[in-house]
Amino acid sequence: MTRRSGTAVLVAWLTLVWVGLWGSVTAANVLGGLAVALVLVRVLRPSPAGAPAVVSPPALLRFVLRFLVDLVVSSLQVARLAVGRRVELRSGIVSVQVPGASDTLLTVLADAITLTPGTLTVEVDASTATLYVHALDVGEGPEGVQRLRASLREQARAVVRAMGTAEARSHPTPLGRTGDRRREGQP
Amino acid sequence: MRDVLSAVLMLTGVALALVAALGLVRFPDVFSRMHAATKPSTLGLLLITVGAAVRMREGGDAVALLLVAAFQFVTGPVAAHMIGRAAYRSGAGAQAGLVVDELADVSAPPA
Repeated sequence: MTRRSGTAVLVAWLTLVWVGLWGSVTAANVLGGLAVALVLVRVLRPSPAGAPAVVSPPALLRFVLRFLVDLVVSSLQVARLAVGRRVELRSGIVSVQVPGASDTLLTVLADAITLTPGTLTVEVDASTATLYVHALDVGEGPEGVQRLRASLREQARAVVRAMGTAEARSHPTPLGRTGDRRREGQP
Repeated sequence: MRDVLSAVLMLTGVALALVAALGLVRFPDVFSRMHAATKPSTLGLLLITVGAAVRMREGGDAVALLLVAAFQFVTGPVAAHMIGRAAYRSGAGAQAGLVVDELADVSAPPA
């Protein structure tokens, strides 16, 4: 997408949101929204989003459904911990690398990780496409950390399948085989 | 029937919001509190907006509610991420209590 057409899409989207927030399609709402959108785009000058995402509808649907299930599971899990007796949690921060991921993809993945069971993104290194994820409970020893990293990678793969750029899809390194931070599970 | 469905959805949402508040108070450190601040409250708000939308007679208002839910999904985790990150960098995140800390290996995370 060129910068110009990207801006046009953004203006159209902002206008749509404006009209949606007012709740009815009238000439005044559409024109007002258009005016606000144009001013916003002019003032904020959003940076281009980078390589276009290749959206695969079935994979996207699977990702969204899985995400909703995860959200319910994680809410119940936090609810149990919040209401129940105090338990000793073994929390930790684990890194996961997503080679070839665009900024957009990293954003979606970081968002999804935060809303799914037991994990929360605390730091992002966009230059190496690495997310640092806080886990409520990493489990016992090195195996626990590896299991956690494996499930994070699985989540990353799901996002790439759903909306990865061509580069992320065809990246020579399968997700995170190399270049992971070492120190597996050292206390 | 609509009223019952709407009431069930909204009450469940409210219960989740309450649980999120309890978690904020009871969890031991900044990171685990952020878990409480994101997951149940996001789902809770989603249920409340869906519950409200069920009772709406006009489609336009439902669109506005949908946008409310969508923005919560986008902004909630970002806020939690920024708080968690600030806590880590300032040392207020109780890093000492972590079993693993792979972020500590990267001495100065780029801004």
